[in-house]
Amino acid sequence: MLLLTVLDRFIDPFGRFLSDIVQLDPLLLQLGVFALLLGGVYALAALGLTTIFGVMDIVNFAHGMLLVVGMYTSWLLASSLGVHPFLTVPLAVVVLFLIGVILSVLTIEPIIEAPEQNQFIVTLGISFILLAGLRITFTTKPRQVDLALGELKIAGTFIPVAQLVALIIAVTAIVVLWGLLNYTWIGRAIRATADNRDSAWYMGVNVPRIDHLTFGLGAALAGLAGASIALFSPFTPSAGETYLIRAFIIAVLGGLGSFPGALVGGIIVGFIEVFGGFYLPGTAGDILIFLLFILLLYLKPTGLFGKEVTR
Amino acid sequence: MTSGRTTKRRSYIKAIGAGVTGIALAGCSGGNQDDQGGQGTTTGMTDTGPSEVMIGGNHPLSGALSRAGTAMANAGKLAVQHINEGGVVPGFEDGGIPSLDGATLKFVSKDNKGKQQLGGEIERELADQGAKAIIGCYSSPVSRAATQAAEREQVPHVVDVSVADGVVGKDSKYAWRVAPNANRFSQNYAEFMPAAARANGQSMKTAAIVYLNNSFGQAIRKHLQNYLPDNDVEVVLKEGYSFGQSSMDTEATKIKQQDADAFIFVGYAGGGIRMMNSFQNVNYTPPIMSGCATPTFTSLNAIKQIGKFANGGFGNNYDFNFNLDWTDTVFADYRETFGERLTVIHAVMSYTTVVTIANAIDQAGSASRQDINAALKNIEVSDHPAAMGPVTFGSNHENKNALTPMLQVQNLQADIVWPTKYAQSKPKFG
Repeated sequence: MLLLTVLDRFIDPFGRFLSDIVQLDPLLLQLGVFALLLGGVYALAALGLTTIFGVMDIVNFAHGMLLVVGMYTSWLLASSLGVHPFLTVPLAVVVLFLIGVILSVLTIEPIIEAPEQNQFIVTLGISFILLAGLRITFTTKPRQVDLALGELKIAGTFIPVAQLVALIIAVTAIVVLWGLLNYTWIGRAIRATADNRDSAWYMGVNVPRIDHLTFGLGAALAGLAGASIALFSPFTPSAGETYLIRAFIIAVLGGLGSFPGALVGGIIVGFIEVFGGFYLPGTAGDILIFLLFILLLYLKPTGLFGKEVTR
Repeated sequence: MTSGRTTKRRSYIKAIGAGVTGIALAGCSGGNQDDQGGQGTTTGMTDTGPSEVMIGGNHPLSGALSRAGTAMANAGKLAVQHINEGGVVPGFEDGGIPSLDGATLKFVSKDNKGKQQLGGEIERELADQGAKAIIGCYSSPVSRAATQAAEREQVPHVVDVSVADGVVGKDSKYAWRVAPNANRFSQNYAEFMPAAARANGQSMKTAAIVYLNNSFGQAIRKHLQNYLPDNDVEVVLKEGYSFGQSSMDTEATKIKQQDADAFIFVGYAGGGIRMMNSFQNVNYTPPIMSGCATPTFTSLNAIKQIGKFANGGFGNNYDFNFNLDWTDTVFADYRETFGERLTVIHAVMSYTTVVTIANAIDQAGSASRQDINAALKNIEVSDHPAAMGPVTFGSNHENKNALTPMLQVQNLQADIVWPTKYAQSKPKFG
């Protein structure tokens, strides 16, 4: 009976969705734009997480909070020092890179070879400390960077400019990161460490230094995501939770350690969230996201862009 | 980097599972308690009666709700200060409790961190320290835990702010509520908003609701669906959203497509600000833009974050009665005492609740918990700074005259516009 009720709630919206497709309803274009923009933001949020896991084998539960630190860095620079909101984005990246390196040296390095539960307790601990620190410092008042960029109107479709900027930043970050990893010595060292830490040692790679660099890079990407999101969305110290959960899903969906996977995974989640949110009742769109996640774990456990490699 | 590894994936998912459990456990666990209100007091006795009567404050002074909780505790302290010093609150001009020969009040504030499991614990601590009555707790689950503890400890607990229905009820003996509940919020909105619109030539036949999909949002939505048709308003769309949702663009698109006479938002400030951003993203302003039980159009901070787009937005909430001559004194003294402007509207209920308890103590002529509780049963407090009638409790222990007037954002300020008795300015449409 319950199953029938649930199915009924999904079948009717699906019929309306198909009908809109057949009629080429212009609304679909608007929803598609929103989905793409949201997916870009999610991809950006997942990028740092997948980088750190890909190289260091560490699930960084502090990633969401590092993202929030990026938001507050951007807001603080813009509201207190009068820095233009766009300029706060690279500054937040630098600040978060330094925070990431410091965290890596002080907290990650001592437990890098420890069992994974130690790692998750440490990163979770960092997350709680950052959350409490932000609440004490900035209170729980919602904050927002004062930037009204308006929206573009193309063929009857509205494109919020600030979100478009965030999408461009996401794609640029992915391209730059891909270039860094594939065409620089550091990139090769990072990839070597990711493939086999011991072999990398023997080949002369300073693995601890690469770890610090990678954790710093992951934190910098969190800062980039946070500062970009702050351009168009209000936030509080607890804002990281939503992005952390989405980032976990996207990282698995796209394939752990895969940058194109993060982008494609982010966009898939963005599309499901927007179209599911529009056609399905209430927050039922979330059900679709988690159903897809479970289904993928059964059908292609390595994720869309991941490859099966055994050690 | 692109090689996903079986072992890695398993450990990743395992770690996520462990982490999520960890987060959940952390959310459930308590922590150290901050005592930001001093060590309480042992009620001093003179030959004729007590020289000092302790009132406890059970509020979230740290954590996510700390901003509101701290302001509420401060308002409680300020009310006690005004009553002790005299000259501000009518009925207490000479300072102290008249029937107790000028006995003073002492406000002891303790931190429940906004956690349900601490609500009862803090209540017991305050009772053990000698509180003769306790106020709190803001978060409804915490208030529920606190009022249950109050029943066991047989100490009167007067809820200053908590919206959820059922925090007090017919079975309550020691729990009372001054603030409006979810039902009253919705009832007042459903009555006042259409009345204000129609009195000013604006049609309000249909409404679309976007609500936070948790117990608070669902309760308000359910009541609105009950009361709006009684006021000739059809609910044509009801759409839930998740807490912390990244974007409200989808909801804004739906609302634009529906184009109902009134848009009603139910949720916290962050969601409200995001909703307004999304309306701007789709270039849409609802004919009547409003909220019920949300700070979106009533909190100065939220209005500031939204900016000019908030102008014209309506929201109902309890508020100060700005037509009273001593309301300005409350604001001025709050700033002087605590070094910041009073911008958290919940403070009005905490202040009013302490004034109500002071009246009950005065009426009882005793600092006995039982006597104070008995006095609360028949109390009628007309002299308080809130925009509502006299505080008086019904058989369900709810304040019969709890009220949430309609406010409208005009020039980035939230003014009471309806009902006219409390209005600071006239509502503007179009």
